[in-house]
Amino acid sequence: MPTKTANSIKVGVVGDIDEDEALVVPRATAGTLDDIAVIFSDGRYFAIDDTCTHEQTSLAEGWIEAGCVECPLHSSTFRLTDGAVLSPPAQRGVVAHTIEVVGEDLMLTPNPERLA
Amino acid sequence: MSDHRRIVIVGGGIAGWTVASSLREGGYDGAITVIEREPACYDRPPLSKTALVDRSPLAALAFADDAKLVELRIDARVGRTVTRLDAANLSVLLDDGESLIGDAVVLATGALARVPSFPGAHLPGVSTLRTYADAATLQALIGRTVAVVGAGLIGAEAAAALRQAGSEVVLIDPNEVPGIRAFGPTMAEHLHGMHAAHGVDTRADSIAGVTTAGGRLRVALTRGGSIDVDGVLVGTGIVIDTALAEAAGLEVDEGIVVDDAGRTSAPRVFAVGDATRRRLPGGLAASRGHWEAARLDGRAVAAEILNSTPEPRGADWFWSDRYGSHIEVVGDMTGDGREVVRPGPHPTAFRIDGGLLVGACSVDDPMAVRAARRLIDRSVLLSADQLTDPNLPLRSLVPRG
Repeated sequence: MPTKTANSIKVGVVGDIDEDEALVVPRATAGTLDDIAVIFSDGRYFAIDDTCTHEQTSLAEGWIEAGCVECPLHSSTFRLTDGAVLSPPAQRGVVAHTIEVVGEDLMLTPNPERLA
Repeated sequence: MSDHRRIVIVGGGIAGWTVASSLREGGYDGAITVIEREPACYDRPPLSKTALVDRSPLAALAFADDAKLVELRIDARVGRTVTRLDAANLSVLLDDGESLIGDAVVLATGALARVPSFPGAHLPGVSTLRTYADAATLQALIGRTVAVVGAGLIGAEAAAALRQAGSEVVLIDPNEVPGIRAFGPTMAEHLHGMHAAHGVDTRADSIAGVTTAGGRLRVALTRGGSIDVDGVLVGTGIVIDTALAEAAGLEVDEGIVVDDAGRTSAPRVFAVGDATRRRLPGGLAASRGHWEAARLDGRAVAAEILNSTPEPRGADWFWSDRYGSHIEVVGDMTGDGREVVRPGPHPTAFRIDGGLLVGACSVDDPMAVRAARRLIDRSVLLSADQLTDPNLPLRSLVPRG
């Protein structure tokens, strides 16, 4: 279960997410405008808004490889570090959030711009 | 002034737009002018899908709003057509009399819907679907009775969208199972069956003619009988728009002939997208007619103009949507090799030739095709048994990197 500290939320522990996989933190849990995809790739954790900016779909369901996620519908590609869009049809990037490993815990700090 | 550099792009669909945006992304600092005959530079795939029935404004499909055009310094001349290309001088003449000279000209003139030739094809209420205006016109048929002629990608998508929006739809195609070339035999049959399952009246027939009948349209069928409808949508293919290239003396063979870098027969004149046919060692390739192919054409020409290394290009990929299902195809689903089907809640069809994958088609399992893309592009040796083992994750077959 997610537990909250001042402004970060425990969303899991190391090992919960397999390589090039993602888990979705619901917006109700994160207190954000969108669900958040927490992604593990190349030994690092990333967190971005989960909904593709082109048509409504979950990026966590997409193909994750080489620091990018490819939307499952039309292959718009987003960079995991900052959510920038690298390939259309999406025209806008997604917002990135802060995710840190504290001990074994995955601690998510939502981007203040995206708080509900 | 000779120190004013400019690239002139004729056509602002995905191919032409990609040239423009990729030039800026790659650091091109000269002027970029896109001449588009439609009221905006916009993305076409939604026209036969969501945008056909949800009344999306044109702005929602546009590649850039005014602010972004300014930011990108792309001079978009919308609602304008090019009436003449002078390939030797790299100049174009616009319908408003203006003449523009470039350091290079890129033709992204696309294709037009094939105009039907049956008797009555000219009647009001008989239409094709290629532009936003076409889609807006067809919205009048939501909730009414529509004959859709041709069950290829456009016809099938439009039939599904209209049916889901509440229309009665009769789908007419001469083939018992349309779409085999695109999807392979197994998936074509499954996909075509979705129409009847959703209450569409599918007919293996063709249209003999259309007449007016009491304020409606009467569609006569070749095999006999007729259907009374409120509108007819004809989706029976495209005609490549080569008029400008032909008049300018470029090599044209059903499409503007180009090489891998998008070069035409005239120096510094390039062509991209649906308007082109690529020269291959064995002859000319058919126009691919898909969104991603057009986009990658645009990337290649921008790289050529920038004198940078083009991105590697893999097997062709496309998507299609019907009845809320998402279809993806990569590579070739007909031709050499044999088809195998991976069982599961969302079966995937694969085409395998020797130990190499050559094509894949999935319905509601896009990650199967994303894995297949990489298996094809990285020439991974594999077996039919591996592909059809539902317990073996496809991704585990893809080497990293």
